[in-house]
Parts: sequence; structure tokens; C-alpha cells
Amino acid sequence: MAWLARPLSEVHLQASWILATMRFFRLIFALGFLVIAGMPALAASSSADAAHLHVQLVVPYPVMVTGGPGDAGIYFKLEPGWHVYWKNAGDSGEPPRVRWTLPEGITAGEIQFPAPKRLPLGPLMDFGYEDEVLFPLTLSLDKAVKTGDAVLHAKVDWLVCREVCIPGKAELESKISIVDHMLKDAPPPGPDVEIYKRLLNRLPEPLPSSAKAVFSATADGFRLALTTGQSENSAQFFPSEQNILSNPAPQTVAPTKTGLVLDLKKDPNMTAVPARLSGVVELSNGRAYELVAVPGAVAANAPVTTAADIGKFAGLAFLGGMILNLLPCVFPVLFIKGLSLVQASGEEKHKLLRHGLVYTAGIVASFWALVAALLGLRAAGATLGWGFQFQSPVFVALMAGLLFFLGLSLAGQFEIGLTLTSAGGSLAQKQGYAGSFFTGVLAVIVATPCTAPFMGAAVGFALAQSGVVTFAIFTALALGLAAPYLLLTIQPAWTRLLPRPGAWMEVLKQAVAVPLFAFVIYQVWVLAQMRGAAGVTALLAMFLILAIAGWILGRWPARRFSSIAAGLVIAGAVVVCVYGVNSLAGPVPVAAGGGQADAAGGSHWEPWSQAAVDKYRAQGRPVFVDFTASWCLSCQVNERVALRTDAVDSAFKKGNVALLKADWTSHDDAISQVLTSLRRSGVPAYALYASNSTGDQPVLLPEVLTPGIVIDALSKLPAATSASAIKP
Amino acid sequence: MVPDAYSRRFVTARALRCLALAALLVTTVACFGQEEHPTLALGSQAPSFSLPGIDGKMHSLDEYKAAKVLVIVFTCDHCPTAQLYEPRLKKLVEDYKGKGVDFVMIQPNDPDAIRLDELGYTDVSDSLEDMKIRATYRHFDFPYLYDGATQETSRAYGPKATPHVFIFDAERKLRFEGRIDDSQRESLVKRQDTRNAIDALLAGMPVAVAHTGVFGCSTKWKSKTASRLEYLAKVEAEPVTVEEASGDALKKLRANSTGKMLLINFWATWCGPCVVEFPDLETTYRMFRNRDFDMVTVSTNMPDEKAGVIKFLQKHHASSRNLIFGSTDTYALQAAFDPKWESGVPYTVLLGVDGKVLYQQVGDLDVLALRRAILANLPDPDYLGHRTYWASR
Repeated sequence: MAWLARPLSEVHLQASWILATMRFFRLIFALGFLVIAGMPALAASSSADAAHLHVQLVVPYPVMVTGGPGDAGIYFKLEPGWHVYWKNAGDSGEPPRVRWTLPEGITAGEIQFPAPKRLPLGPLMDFGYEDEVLFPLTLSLDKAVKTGDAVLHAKVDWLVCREVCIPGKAELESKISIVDHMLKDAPPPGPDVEIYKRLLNRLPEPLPSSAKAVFSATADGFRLALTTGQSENSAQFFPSEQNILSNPAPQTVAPTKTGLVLDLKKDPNMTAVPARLSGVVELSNGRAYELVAVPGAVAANAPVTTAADIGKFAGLAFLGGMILNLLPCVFPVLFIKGLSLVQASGEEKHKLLRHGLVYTAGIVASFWALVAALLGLRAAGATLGWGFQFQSPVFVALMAGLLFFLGLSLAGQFEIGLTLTSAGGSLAQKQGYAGSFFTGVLAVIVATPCTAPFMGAAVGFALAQSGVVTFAIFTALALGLAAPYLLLTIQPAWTRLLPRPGAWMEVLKQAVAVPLFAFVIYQVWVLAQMRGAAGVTALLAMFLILAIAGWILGRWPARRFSSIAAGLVIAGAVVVCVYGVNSLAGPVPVAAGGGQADAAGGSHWEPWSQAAVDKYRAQGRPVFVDFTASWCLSCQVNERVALRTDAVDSAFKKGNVALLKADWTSHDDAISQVLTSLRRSGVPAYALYASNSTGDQPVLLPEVLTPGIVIDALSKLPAATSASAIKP
Repeated sequence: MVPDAYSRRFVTARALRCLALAALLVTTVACFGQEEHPTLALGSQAPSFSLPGIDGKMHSLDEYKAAKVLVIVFTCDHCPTAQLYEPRLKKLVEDYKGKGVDFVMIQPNDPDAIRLDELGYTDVSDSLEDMKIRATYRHFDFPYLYDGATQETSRAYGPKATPHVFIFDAERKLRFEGRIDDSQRESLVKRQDTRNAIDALLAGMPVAVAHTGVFGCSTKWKSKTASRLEYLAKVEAEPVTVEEASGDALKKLRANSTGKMLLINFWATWCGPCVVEFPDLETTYRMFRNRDFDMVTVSTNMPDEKAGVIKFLQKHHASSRNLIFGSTDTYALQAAFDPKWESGVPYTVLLGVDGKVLYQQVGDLDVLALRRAILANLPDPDYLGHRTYWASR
């Protein structure tokens, strides 16, 4: 502390000298700082402040391994109200760009764009980001990259706008160190890792494989249907390409059971409907997906169900169920049941009633089982309609075999208990309640392909509703089917109206065999459509083997060994059938199916495709689509009674109507989808599309056609069906 | 079978009827062929009206029945004469406050019937929204009603030009119809016709001069809409060109040796605010181009983006002089024009004849402020006093 002892004046001099020196150095320092600040190109900084934003080169893990990937990103922090743009900026704007100068062996991928926001600007709409955004990218390092320190150099250009647009640029650098192997499990994080981790999840994800995106063109734009598996109530779609959508137009969202449908308006400058609609869709809860939508049928929105609606359709379903009893595929069973009733009319009231209730229970239970299976399959994404069983050739063949066998019994070849009315197998042999139950089940199985009139709409409606509503509707259907028999059991008095047992029963029984065999012949025809002559041969071979089994049962009735032998033979028949139908006979091309019916002069029916529908409508022609299947009796009847008559033919010709046949005999996804969109679950269905595309929804004709109905519908077509082009 | 005499009379009657019909037809056509809206004759009852005002409410004749004297002035926004009378009208209203005189200003023009080149002396046109803007800007303290929708009231009163005064006595009989005073230029006024008439009526005396001629802008009746559309079509058919501009060209632009007032707007196709304001700019150009005024748009797009620039200009029928930056060195070209310009677009600058900056704006354009700056600085040989009026508030 010797210096403290010095005189004050000396201290003063020394102090002022020190001060002067300090001032001098401060000046030098300040000048130097100014010089450095004035040379931004030499500033090796990973971030920069520019007009209205701060931009930064983000490297979350600055230690990278040779041969591996590296993470980096460009981060913008924007002043309030200012924005930068998405890869498709919208009506105005430019996305940011990066140009790299990298050490040898390192390449940079393209910057990835997080899910954008809509930025309205007067009459325009832009897509971009406000507040802050990170554009991540991946670097790839070669195996041969030199280890040690390296510098990543990025030249970033951007456009930032609010009420004025200012193009900006910055040169950013960041140091990394390259090693040949990582010392610890995870790379050590750098200071940027917080930004990176926080904003990385803003990137849109690819659409999960369980989800689907389909779009269809409408008069003034597109409808995009997104299926995610759950009902969605909010979405925004950002197109990847310009000049497809009108960016400022609002996008209306219609939730559906498994997703949603977005109504998009097209850009007035759009020249041609795109083959794909790609972009990003943002859903609620911050989910964003990249998707590429393919053209396809978009299901119409499910309407709001009121109790009145459900009641109405349940009523229709009940009626439909009752009518099903009259159809030739069902009434043999009913007759058989009726016969057993007649025979049992001497029993007490309550037992009859109970049988009736069990029969009803059997019907209702099998309906429920079918519906449950259908809902399950529908949830799994497969579009199946009512009658799907009859799309399987093996099922058709087996059903034909069963009914043939039953017919043989009715015809008298051998006796099976009159209570044996259920499908082949020991279950059916049960007397009493079990027998009644399985009679009900048989009734359902056989009734399925006959989508009765009035029932079509109910079924289509129900399938588009929730599970609860579907079950309600189908229960009504089941009850309708069971009602006639149940009535008989409830009102034993009416059994007195039934004829007394007698010899006529035998005659009746044999007579019932006739429609049964007729139905078998029909099934043979259906199989012929599906599997051709080879399939029919396999089927007939099965019939022969079944006849043998029947003979066994008839030759040695009521013996155990004969039952076993017959059972084995039947099993053999089934094997022959399945093998023959599946392996020996190949599928018949759909186009040929139904061709025979057209051979006899008249209108020319083309195979259906959505493209054909659009093509003819664009040509100014109305389009009539006949959704049919070989195994659908109502369809065949309608075709012959209504569609192929001269009067209707000439009406078609006069209206220049294009005729398309959608053959659903074998499983067809596209047709299934269209049927769903028309709120029908099965065939028959008839759709009449007007020519100019004022709306997508065609006129649906009833399931029971008469020539009058068809001609009437054609006459109601809008007048502007001359060759007018689709409105742009 | 019909008797001859009968048939002859029948025929004659029919012929006469046809002739009468034809005559009626011809007369009717003749009547509607010309736009005859006769001015209300002196002594007539005031036709009733119910019109929307700038306060958003409807106003009818009955509202003013308490006034001893009702003065209805047909005036408008766009006419320079009417504008020059605005201060005098305001003074009239103020001077006669509390004296039992009510003033109602009615705007008779249909804005769709005003051609763009008739808007060279105004910042706004004659729609109700425009009237509100003018009333706010000039602090109108009187009812200002809009009749441009049907022009029913105006057809009943028959104003020949704006401004045109109609003064009614307590019984609402027309006692004076004509001008406010005898000169557009306030300094040359010798006779205050309107004031004289009001004073006479208030004193219960006969009005000495009950009728005068009017001068101003003719009433823009609906029938003139066709003429506006025709003019617009002609303007939109004018050729659209773009030339590349070098740094030197931009320096010359800045110096403004055109001898006219020059409006320059820098824009780009990727700039949203530029795109949104562009139509207003073109309209401004079309409004003032018949005076000593010109406009140049300069696109800061790169030269290889010229096709997009041309497409945009054609879409907007931009027949003004259009330039595009001639090189990719955007910053250098911006600095050549204005070293202080911090490279944001849109950048709008209004240059006087001497190159002086009269108005400048980076970002969203305030069209009204721009137009007022133009009006405050354009030479006004045809309406002396107009420029001064607009230079003041």
C-alpha cells in the first residue's frame, strides 16, 4: 500500500493519465466495435436481427457422427403482426429459402414447413406463420467426412410482411464438431435444443395408413372426404399447389361418423381438375397431416336423425320384414313352419305362443348377429352391403346345395322331421324350442339377398346411422319377418282357419318342394354368372352326391349308421363343391356377366364406372345406372319387367340417356362406395343423373320398378340436357 | 253477313283508336327520349321526400315542418363548384341558426352515372359512404341526404346543377329557386341571392329576385350510366405496357422532369398489400390524368418474372406507364431511386413538378390522403381557389 503514501497531486496526475488512457482505449474499443458491426459478412453469428424479425440457424445437437444424420433448422422470431410464408404462400408472398455452404461430405435436405395459418389480407388469403416458426431440416454426413470442427454456413432469404412487404436476407453460421463415434448413447444437446424440441411437433405428419382421403369434383370446387376413424368437427385444408383452390373462400366442414367432408371452392383460374389433391389438413387439437387425396366417391352427409325419422323408418322396416315372408326365398320355410303349426294345433295355446316367440327370438338374434358383424366390418373399413353373403360363390353353391337337399326331403326321397327346417346339421334336428329358434335363423339367412321393396331405404338409412339406431331398425325388420308366424301362435283361433292335418299335407309338402327347387335353379344361374359352366358342373356334381346321401337316408330310415353315412357323404359333397367352385372354376369377367340379357336388341348397356358417368354427363347426356346382381331376384325381375321393355327403351333413346350397369354380383369396392354415397346398402338401386352437373345427387328410383316409373322419371329430367358443357 | 254501315263505322272507330294509340306512343317516346326534368315552378308545393342521411337515419320533409323557412340545397361531393361553396353553405347554416330557418342538403347524383374523368377535382365520389367521408372531413353541421338510389326526389324538384337552391315559405310554397350567390369565387361576389331571399321571407316581404340561373356541375341522372360504362370500357381497352428500368432511369424518374405532378408506386406481385391497393391506385390515375398529373408503377420483381407482372397489369387494365426493375440487384435499384428507402413495398411517393416530395408512404396506402395531397398541389387554372381550398382544412 505504498502508493497511498504518495502526495495527492501526484495521485491526481496519475489518475487523470489512467482516465485518459481508459478513454483512449474506450474509443478504440468503440471504433473497433463499430467496424465489426459494420461488416455483417464477417460476423460469424448463428443469428441475426433484421427488419421486424430475428433469424437464427438452429443446431440442436452440435456433435454429429460421420455417416449419420444431423439436425438443423432455421428459426424466425417475428414482431407482432408480421409474418413469413408457407411453401405455398397463397395469393401473395414468398416462402423463405436457404442456400448452404457446407463442408465437404455434408449435404443439407430441404427445409420442412410446419403446419401454416391462414393469413387474410383484404380480399386475399395467404398462408404462413406469425410470432415464431422453425423450419427443420436434416443434414446427411458421409462416412468419409473429416472429423473435427466444422462450420455450417447458410444464406437465408425471406419475405416478411404486414402492411408492407420487406424482402430480407442474412448469412448465418454455426459451428459443429464431427466425431466418428458417439461417446455416450445420446448426442450432447446444444443451447438450441430447447427451440428445436419445442417447435418440432408443429410439422404435419403423414396421414396414418388407417385414414383415407378421397376427393370428388363438384360444380364449383371439390369435396374432400377424410376418414380418420372418429367424427371430426373442424378442419382447414391448405393446398400444396397454387391455382387449384380459391384461397379466401371459406371451407365448410360437415362432420361424418368416421371423419368429415370439406367443401372447397376452386380457383376461377383452374384449368383442369387435378389428378390428385395434395396439401396439409389441420384438425382440432393441433393435429396436422400431409395428405394426397385421390379421386373417389364422397359419401353424402349423414342427416340429423330425429325420433320421427327413426320411427318412420322402423315402421317401413317392419313392413318390409313382413313382406319378406311372401318372397319365394322365404315362404317355403314359413310353409314348413305353418305345416308344423297345423299339426300341432291340438297343443295348448301357451306352447304355441312360446314356439312363436322363440322363432321370433331366433330371427331377431340372427339379425343382430348379422348387424353386429356388419358394423364390425364397416368399422374395419370394408364397405359391405346387405346381401354380401351372396357375393361369395362358395356361399351361393352351399346354399343351393342345402336347399336342394331340403327339396329332396320335401319331395319324398327321405324323411326328416317336419320340425327340421334349419340349415343342415344336427342343430336342425332338435325338436321343440331349439328347432323353432333355428328355423328363425334359417329364415334370416335365406331372406338376406332379397332386399325387399321399402326395405332398401330403411337399410341404407340405418347403416349410415349410429350402432344404436341401426340395431333399432334391424330389430323392427326382424319383428316384421317373424310377425305372421307369431300372429298365428298368438291367435290360436286362427289356427282353426288353417286347414286340418290330412293327406293334403303330404301333397302340400311335395308342392313346396317345387318353389324350393325353383330357387335352387336360380342359385345355379347365379353361380353360372360367377363361375361359369365349370362352376355349374361342380354344383351339379354336389347335387348328385347329395342325392346319394338322401337315398341312403331314405333306404335305411331312422337308423344310426345311415345317418352317419349320409353325413359323411354330405361332407364329401361340400368338399367337392368348395374345391370345384374355388379351384376348378375361375371367376367370370364381370363385363360378360349379364351380357346375355342385352343380346336381344334394345338399348346398349355399358359396364359402370364413375369415369363413364362423368364422361357422359359432360357430353350433355343424362345417365341411368342400374345397380344389380345376379343373385338379386328383385333386380332380375325389375330388369325384365321394366328396364328391357320397348316403351322404356324408346324413352331412353329419346332422352339420349347413357345406360350403365353396375354389376355387384362379385365383390366390387367402387360400386359399394357409390351405393353407400347414395344411402343404399344393397341392390337393387337405380340412379338417374341429369346431364349438366348442377349438383351430384341423382334421382333414385324405387326398388320396385314399373315402366311407368322409369318413363316418368325420364320426363322429369331438367330441360337443359342438350349438349351443354359443364360450367367452369 | 255484317251490315255494311256497321262495318264501316266499326272500321273507322278502330282506325281512330289505332291512330290515337300511335300518337300516344310517339309522344311518350319523345318524352322519355330526352331527359326532361323540369325544375319546380315558383309557387308549387314542396314535394315530400324520405331519404337516408349521413347520420344513418331516414329524413323526411315533415321533419322540418316547424321551420318558418325551409332551404333545400342540391349539392354534391365531386363537383368543384359545389366544393368551393362548402364554406359558404356552412356559414349560411351557422348565420341563420335559431332564426327559424332549416337547411337540408340533398345529393341528387347517381354515383354510377359519374364518369371517371369527371372525378378530377375530388377525393371521393357521390355515394352515401363518400358523403359521410366528406361531411366528416369538412365538418358539415347540417342534414346531408342521399338521393342517388332512385333520384325520385330530384326528379320532382328538378335541380339543373349542383349547387341549386330551393327556398320554401312556412306553407311550403316555393318562393325562390336559383343560385347561392353570383360568383364562384368568393372575392368577386356582389349579390347574395340566397341570403336576400331568406331575409325577405323572414321579414314577411315578397322575394325581390325569385329566380336566377345556376352554374355548377350538371345533375348526373341515371341515364348517364351508359356513358360512364362506355368510358370505362374505353379506358380498360387501352394498351398495357411494361419497360425495364435501369438505375439511371430510376434516378431520372426521381428527378421528375415531366413537367407534371408524378405519382410513383413501387410494388411486386408477391406483395399482398401492393396487390390489394393496386385497383385504388389505378382509379386515382384515371381520375386525375386529364389534369397535369401522371402515374408510373414500378415493379420490384426480378426481370425474369416479367410475365407474371404483365399478367397482373393486364388484369387491372393498368394503362399508366409501367416499369419493372431491369436487373436482379434489387437493392441497388432501390437505392438509385431513393437511398433512404428501406426496401419495403409498397412504396408510394407523390412528386411535385420540381421533384419535391408532396406525399410519401411505405406500406398500406391511405388513398384519401394521397388524393387530397394531389388536389392540394395540382394547378387549378379552371377553378381558381380550388387548390387553396384543398390545401386548407
